Amino acid sequence: MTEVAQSGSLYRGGIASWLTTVDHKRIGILYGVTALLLAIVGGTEAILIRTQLIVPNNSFLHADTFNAMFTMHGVTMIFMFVMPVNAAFFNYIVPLQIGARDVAFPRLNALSYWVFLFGALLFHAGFLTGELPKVGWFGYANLSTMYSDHGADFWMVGLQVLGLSSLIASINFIATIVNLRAPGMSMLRMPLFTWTTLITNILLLLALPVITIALVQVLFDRFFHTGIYDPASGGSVILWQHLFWIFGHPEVYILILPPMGMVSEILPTFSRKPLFGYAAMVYASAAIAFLGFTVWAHHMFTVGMGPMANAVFSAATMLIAIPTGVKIFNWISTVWGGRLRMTTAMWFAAGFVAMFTIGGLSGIMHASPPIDAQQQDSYFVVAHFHYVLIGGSVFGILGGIYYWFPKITGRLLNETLGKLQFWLVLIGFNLTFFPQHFLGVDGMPRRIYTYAEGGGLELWNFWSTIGAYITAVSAVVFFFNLIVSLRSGKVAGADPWDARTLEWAITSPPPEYNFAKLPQVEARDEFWHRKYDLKNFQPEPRGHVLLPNPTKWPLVVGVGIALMGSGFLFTPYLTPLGVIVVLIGTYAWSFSKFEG
Amino acid sequence: MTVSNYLANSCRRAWVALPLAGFLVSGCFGDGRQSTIRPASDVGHAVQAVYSVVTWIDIGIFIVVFGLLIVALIRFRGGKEGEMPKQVHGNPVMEILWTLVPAVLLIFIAVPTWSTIFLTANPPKENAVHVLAIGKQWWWEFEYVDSGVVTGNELHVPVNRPIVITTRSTDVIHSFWVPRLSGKIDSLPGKDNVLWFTPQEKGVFYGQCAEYCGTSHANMRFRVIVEDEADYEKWLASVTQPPVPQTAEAKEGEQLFLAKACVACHTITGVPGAVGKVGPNLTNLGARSSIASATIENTPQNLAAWIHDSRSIKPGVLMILPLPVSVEEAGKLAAYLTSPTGPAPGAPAPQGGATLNMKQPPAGAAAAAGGGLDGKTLFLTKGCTGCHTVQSLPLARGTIGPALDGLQARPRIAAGVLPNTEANLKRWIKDPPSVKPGTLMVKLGLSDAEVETIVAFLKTL
Repeated sequence: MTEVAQSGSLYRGGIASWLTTVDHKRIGILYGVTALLLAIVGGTEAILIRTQLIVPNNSFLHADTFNAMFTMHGVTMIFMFVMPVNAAFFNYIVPLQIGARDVAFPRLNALSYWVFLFGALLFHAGFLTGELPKVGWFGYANLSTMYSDHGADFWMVGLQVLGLSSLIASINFIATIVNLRAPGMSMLRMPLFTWTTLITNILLLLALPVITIALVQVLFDRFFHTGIYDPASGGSVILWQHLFWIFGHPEVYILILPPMGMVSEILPTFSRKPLFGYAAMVYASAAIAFLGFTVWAHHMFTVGMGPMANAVFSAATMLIAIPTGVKIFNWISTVWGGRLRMTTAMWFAAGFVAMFTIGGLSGIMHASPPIDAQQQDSYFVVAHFHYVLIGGSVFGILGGIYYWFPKITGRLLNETLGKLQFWLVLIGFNLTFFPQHFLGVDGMPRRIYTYAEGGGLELWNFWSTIGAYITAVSAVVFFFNLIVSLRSGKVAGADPWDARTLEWAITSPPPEYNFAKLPQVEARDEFWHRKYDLKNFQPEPRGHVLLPNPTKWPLVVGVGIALMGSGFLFTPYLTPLGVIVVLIGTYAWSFSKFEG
Repeated sequence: MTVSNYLANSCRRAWVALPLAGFLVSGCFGDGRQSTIRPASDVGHAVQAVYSVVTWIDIGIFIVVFGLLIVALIRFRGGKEGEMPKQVHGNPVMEILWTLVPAVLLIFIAVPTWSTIFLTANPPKENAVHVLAIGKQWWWEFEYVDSGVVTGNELHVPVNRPIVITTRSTDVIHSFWVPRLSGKIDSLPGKDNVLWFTPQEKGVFYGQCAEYCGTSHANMRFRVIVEDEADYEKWLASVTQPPVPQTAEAKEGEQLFLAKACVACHTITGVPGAVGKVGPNLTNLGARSSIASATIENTPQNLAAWIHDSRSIKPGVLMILPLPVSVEEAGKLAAYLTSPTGPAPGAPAPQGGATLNMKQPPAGAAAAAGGGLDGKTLFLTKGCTGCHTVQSLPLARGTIGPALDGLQARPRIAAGVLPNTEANLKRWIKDPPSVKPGTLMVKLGLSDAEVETIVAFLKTL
């Protein structure tokens, strides 16, 4: 096939079709595009932060503006970039990988996207009123509950609504993976990306309710003066930290596991070898997720929990290093002995292994409370989490984008621009964050809008900022590549990479119904098995298949939820209005007829 | 110590203690005054030992992982088109090895970690100096538990004696961190935390709040001065006596200190009426090397600039002057505050119920013959505006106490302690600590007539 398949065209139907879609592929695209645009917002905030810190005693940003910038940057990058980009891939790729036609609950799927979009808008609505949250992304009480202005409400409501979006989606993906796998695809024949999607969504399902309750308590403290987090009323500020981090630690595995899954698809494809130690990878991922619920208080080693609590959480944290190490060695062994094609996706996957290792090593240092007493709340921690988040999650995601872009759009991203972007971001990112380890060692606390002259902090702050500017250039190259390749990238065909899993067995982009005939699965890496073991692979015939119809009710319910949240931001009358809209929307949704 | 000497020592120290090249480089630029790898205490050295072990292990793992990855990327690149590499699925021996070896390495980290946790958690009881470090937005108050001495932002301690710091906060969470002496511990509202260290070197050690606490978190710094026992005792004594003005300028400053109602927020031990608890204790300010929570050096120009307009130096600072202070007046105040302390020459014995001594007519006051100032003027000139906001008075923008608009309509006052009657309001303003012990609102030494006039004004709000 030399033309881009038309039946899955991105452009069919106009705006209305996008607003009412229940097709997992379109919802995946909506998630992805929205997330990339918000990444630009978060990245701009980062550039502003680093510009303020380029020299000591700088006056580029006022203290309050700086404090708002690091708050917004953290929340945006976590909840409005990495999580929704992961969701974009859950949406688009997982049904294709398991040989399904769509997710288990297509309308719920659409709802989760609209709630995400409205959550992002509500969070940023403070820009309209000039009141931005300045509480840090994890908003410690009682600064957030008793010593913050109205800006903190945008943080509270935004986080609440965004969390709801992921919770809704998690139910969907677990049901999909458990129930809709093609015949013959046992759990241990699933691609690793599907596995990490399943595990991540179980984590979301268990962790999000905790922060939901914790934020409701913040709402009650701020609006009804309940004093749950106020020691003077018999409450506790530490309670917030425990509740937050019981969510917050699994959250970081939610951020890293899907990119780990992407890397686990990319490395085998471009090494022309199966993933080394598939079962161990599955069990290690599950172990990391499970253990992730036992370590939350390592974010609280300096809070004064006492030596015994510190020792226990330290031991649990060190334990997680073991399955993580297993994964690193398995990835390297996948590459070892292969026949490597160094495409951009492969570079990012290899870069992931290297950079995530560095992040993991600084994490081991933090796991020791005496060392952490020096490192906590310093730039050493900032360096650590950016290594695992950018060097880890973002590199994995960029690899995933270069890998699956041809499947989604039918065109390849430009490889020259891709490699330019890779080297720019590798250099820029390392220049930005490696010196921040030194700044932490030199005693620079985090979240400070300026620092003193003569304390030895000038040199590395300067170079860190230069690194940030280089990273920004790499982002420009990336977006340029995306736009140019969409219009005139090389046509990809169904299987441009000679890959291993089922999504490559159908056209690029896939037809609306994905598979005309549901595949009968006989092995792990089923597609590779058909191509090279069976050697009798037949291309998919076209056909007509019955699919759920588009509907506006998920959008309506999403608007209702947004209105409910808005009541705490603008005027209280919006909340009861929102409740009415949700009730009407849910009723109509439940009783709408199925028209194929 | 000469500069080159210093550099040589610190470079060598960094190389021995922590082998990472980058740490070496960073230790050679700047004075490393807040460095976490230049310990000057027993606890600091104990932590350094664990830090070194983990750093070596980390470096070893880094070399192995990176080495394998880079070799793999180079060695297996390309190859003949169509060539299919061996489809290896696993290797049980390797997999067991790389599960067990990391586990063993972790034990090497866990054991010294465990013992150091318990070491740092057990402050010695013998011969210790006990200090209460109270974090407030955005400065540190230090109280010496045994002697009752209170000071702000600079902590003097004797060398070679255990220093036990109990820390808490009166508002949000802060964190007490002086890297060269110890790891940090959070200062919480509602619960005390303890950290300890025995300083082993004399000198000035730089600290900083390490938990984001609002607008001027970056400016919430402090210093720990470690000195000989004798010098420490001398300093402790000097902080219990008022400044003794040595020059005419300083004498004028003494009057201004009272006239400008600084006493509403600040205490100076031995100055009658200066019992404010909102801002730092200013006794022997002259001995401090820094001011403005250790962000700027204590020079006459800096101090005058700070007093004149603190918000331009420290964003969001709660120090709002009740009465405007010109730059010239600020200079005089600075001269007074930095005068050496000593027993006040011929000072009258302080009476119970300290009185304000207003020798200078306050700026902007309506000077009525016979001393009958109206309520609004009294409100503006007695220091009320340092803590309270009244929308109709542009100078009244204090944010420490409750806003007073609508006071007339409130059923209760003093945060619900008293019903809002004229008699109660007078009682409250006349002597707040007698109504609500521990309140930050000081007894200003107002006469009954003045209280009555102010109450009449407040009833119009």
